[in-house]
Amino acid sequence: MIPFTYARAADAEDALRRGAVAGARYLGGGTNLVDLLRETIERPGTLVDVTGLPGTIEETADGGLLIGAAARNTAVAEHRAVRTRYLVLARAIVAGASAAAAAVPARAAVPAAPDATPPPPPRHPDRPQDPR
Amino acid sequence: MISSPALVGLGSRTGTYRSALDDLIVAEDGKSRVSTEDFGLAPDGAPHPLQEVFIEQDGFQCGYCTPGQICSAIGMAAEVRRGVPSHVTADLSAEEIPLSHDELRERMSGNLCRCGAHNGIVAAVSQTFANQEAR
Repeated sequence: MIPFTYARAADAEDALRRGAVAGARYLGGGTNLVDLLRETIERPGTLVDVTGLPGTIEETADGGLLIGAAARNTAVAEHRAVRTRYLVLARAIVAGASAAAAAVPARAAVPAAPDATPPPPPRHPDRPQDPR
Repeated sequence: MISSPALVGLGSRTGTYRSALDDLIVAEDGKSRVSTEDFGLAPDGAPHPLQEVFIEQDGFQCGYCTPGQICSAIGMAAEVRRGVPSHVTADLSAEEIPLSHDELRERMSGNLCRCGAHNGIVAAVSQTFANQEAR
């Protein structure tokens, strides 16, 4: 077992402060990082949980849409502006949520999530484990 | 367990998660969790309407996947009412998404029944939540 500390960020400022500590990693949707923790590929000293931070989706003055990193896939897909003006984005998310297409849980944070990490390389029983 | 998702609510966010697959349990502290048992624990002890229809429509055989089917169906119906589109929703901008046969099957497709009771499950969920009968 590899011990680590866990803390919930109260707000963005708190998240930045806690995340600046050496060995700290942000926990967003968790769909990626938690798997890597289980496989001991990621070994953070501190997990900073940012899932409680507001996932804002806002119309911008120049007619765009600002999607915060903490916005959940379902929140983006069901957002009125996304469903009427950004159909490719909405289609991509609901396709990703389809069990028939791929198993990307609705709870996953959008790809810009702080814990987004490249997937681990495939491992083979007859090769030594990745030393990371 | 893949067959037993729970409804999880935190503040304004509520959703169905197949929790034990990807949860870090400490991160769930303080959230409320509802299982199929909670739906059957009305003060008068009556089952949830969906649970009654599951019995009526033979929506199970061994019962292993049933708690997950019940929780997923109730959570799914809430998402449809909220206007959350799915992979098979033709008109993403529709104000109201009818719970058609295809919508129901797509939205419940994460819940497998290895006994093969899917027809009864679809019928039960449809009878309980859809405006139109599943074809």
